[in-house]
Amino acid sequence: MVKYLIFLSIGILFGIFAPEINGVKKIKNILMSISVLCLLFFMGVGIGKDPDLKSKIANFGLNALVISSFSILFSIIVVFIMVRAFRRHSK
Amino acid sequence: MIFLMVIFTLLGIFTAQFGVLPDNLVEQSGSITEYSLYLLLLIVGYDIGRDKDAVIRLITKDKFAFLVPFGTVIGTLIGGLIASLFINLSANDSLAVSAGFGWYSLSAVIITKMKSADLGSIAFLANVFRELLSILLIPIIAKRVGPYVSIVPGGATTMDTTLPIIEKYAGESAAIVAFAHGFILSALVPVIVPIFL
Repeated sequence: MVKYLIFLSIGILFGIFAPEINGVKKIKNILMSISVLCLLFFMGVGIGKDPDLKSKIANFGLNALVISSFSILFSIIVVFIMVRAFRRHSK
Repeated sequence: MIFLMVIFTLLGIFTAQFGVLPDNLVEQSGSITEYSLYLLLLIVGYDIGRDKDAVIRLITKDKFAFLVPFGTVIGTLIGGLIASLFINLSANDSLAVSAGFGWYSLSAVIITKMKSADLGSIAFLANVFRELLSILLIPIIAKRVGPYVSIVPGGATTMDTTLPIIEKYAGESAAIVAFAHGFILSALVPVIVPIFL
């Protein structure tokens, strides 16, 4: 966790102090797309390398899907209400 | 891009599951994920540093956004509790699984150790599903509902895996909040999960 904070901070400092160079934005966007796809692919590999994955999904997939769907749905509802309340309050 | 992101994730899962990938790539998947993440954090940080307006807006007008993690915790636990009405699990077990906030590796380990391998498997899958659904939902919610609400589905993963996706679709202010959101939720997983077991 601390490592992530260090890398993010180094990036922020670069963003603040590095001079504007032509072409950086384009390279950065390409690099970002490639790294995101690479990250997601290998995150998938990390999940898929579990030899019991198929039997886990067969036995527990539905329960797991119900819990994750409800967790996501209600957290969205709570935060949506919260953001609206704050926006109204600050107007 | 959303389509590509989902395809690449599923490709990773299937190629590893069906043994299509070379063994050394599978073994190195953790390290490759970690290094990709470092590079992404540098880029996201650079974008935040470049966009001073986003930082100023967040500190002046949108300070409330730093309360989003607490809304995510409350909403997730309400969801976990309601889910237990529809499945064959006790309220406590369902709450413990939902309190993984998408951090599938840690929550599955804690639950397997403290309760059972079966519930650990449910925790692993439920939190994997949460992460996969987030990849799909973040762009849609950012466009239709708003930047700060789009952070929510990602749970604890918004400081790493889903952070670049949030930055891309919800902007720099949301990325700053997302990092704090992920940081707080990640710290809470080992604290909240055991409470319910």
